[in-house]
Amino acid sequence: MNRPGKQDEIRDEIEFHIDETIDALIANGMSPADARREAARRYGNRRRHAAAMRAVNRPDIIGTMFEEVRFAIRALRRAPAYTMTAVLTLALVSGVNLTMFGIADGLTYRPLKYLKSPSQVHRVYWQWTNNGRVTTSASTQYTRVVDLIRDGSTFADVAAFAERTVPVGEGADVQQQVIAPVSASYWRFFNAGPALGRFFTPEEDVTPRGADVVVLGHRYWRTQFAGRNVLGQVLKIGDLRATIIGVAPEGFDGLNDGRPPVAFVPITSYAASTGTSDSKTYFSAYKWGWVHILVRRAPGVTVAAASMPRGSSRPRGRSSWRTTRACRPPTRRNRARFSLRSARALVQPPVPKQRRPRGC
Amino acid sequence: MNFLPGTLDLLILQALAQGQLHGYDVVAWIREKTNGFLEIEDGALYTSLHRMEARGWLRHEWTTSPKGRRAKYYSLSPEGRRELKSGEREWIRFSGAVAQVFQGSDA
Repeated sequence: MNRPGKQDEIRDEIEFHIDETIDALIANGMSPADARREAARRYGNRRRHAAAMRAVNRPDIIGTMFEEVRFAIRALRRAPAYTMTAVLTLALVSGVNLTMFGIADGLTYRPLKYLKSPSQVHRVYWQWTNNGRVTTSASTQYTRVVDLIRDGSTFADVAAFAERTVPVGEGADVQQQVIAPVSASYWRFFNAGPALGRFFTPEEDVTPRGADVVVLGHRYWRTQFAGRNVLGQVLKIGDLRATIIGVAPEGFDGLNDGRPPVAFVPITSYAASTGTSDSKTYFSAYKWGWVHILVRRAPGVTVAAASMPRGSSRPRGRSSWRTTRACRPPTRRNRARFSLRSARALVQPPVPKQRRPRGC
Repeated sequence: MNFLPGTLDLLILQALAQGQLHGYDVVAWIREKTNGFLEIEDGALYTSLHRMEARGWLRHEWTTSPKGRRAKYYSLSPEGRRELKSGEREWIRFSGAVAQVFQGSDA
């Protein structure tokens, strides 16, 4: 299947050509109706040509596969004993392979590209017990990042990051894309300099609203801007009109669980730009849970010590949890539902979701 | 008229050797240079453009035309320039050989 973007491009290209032809014919004295007919005639069968243009970019996968399958069946039918042995061997090997892969996947992680001292870096998961049931969540409120930074001693560094899908670009070029709102401290976790320009600074990532700047993902920069110098250009990202100040290095995909982001914006700029009621209180209320947290343990602090409940960074007791859910009136049922008997920040290696070991 | 295989591609490459053009400009350039002798079905030209782009001979850029319309502009890649040079040499040799045959018949 061709991407919708490609189909739109083909349609736009054909329409442009026909419009130009009509203009030229009218300029030569033809009536608009005749010009439209003549332009359509000159272009030929529009549907057939559009299909041919699409086919150019689409290899004949089905046809090739069909040929390969037919060839394999003919070969296997000539040697049934060999076929049975091969099928049984493959079945056994596949089963063993699948089991081993599952074990290996659960025990090992591939290190993330550019991450500085991976053994000291963790994602923070929030865990609480509610009526005997343990719940673990990777996302939390931005206010908890503020709390963790204020708490100080356990973590040498704290960064916030999130993943949003928003319209990027303007006019006919606009497309839904994955972006990463991140804190300025995020860049300190990586041994990576920008491929172009610079990353944003702490002064550009401040509450209540950071600067309207953006660092492009390397792949997006190559495909959308052909690797040109785009510094200083303005790119519309959701409700932000952000000035491009840099390009992330090649192969840098950040820590998002899904698709690699096309752009990185200051998390405070994004949060404030959304125009919701949360955009005004995201840094002071415990309401909008959308942020993931990355920490670097301070020297001498163990994972167990870092995971213990402590200070204001832990999800607080009943009263603060009610504050978190301030949109709900504090009824008796509600109080029982959100009472937190134990809560802690559980630190885990920074593994994206698809590679996270079971049980996290 | 029917084109010999590869001729249309070569004409398009030669048109784009003049600079960055969109498909309509390419058609207009070929019509003008051949005094309208080569009648190309416009749609066929785009299939050629896309095919050559898929082969890496062309690059494209979406930008705004002088009339303010969003247009796809094509330009030659280094591979496209090499292809044009070799195609031009082949064509001159081929047409020279055919011309020789007919000149010989007239004599």
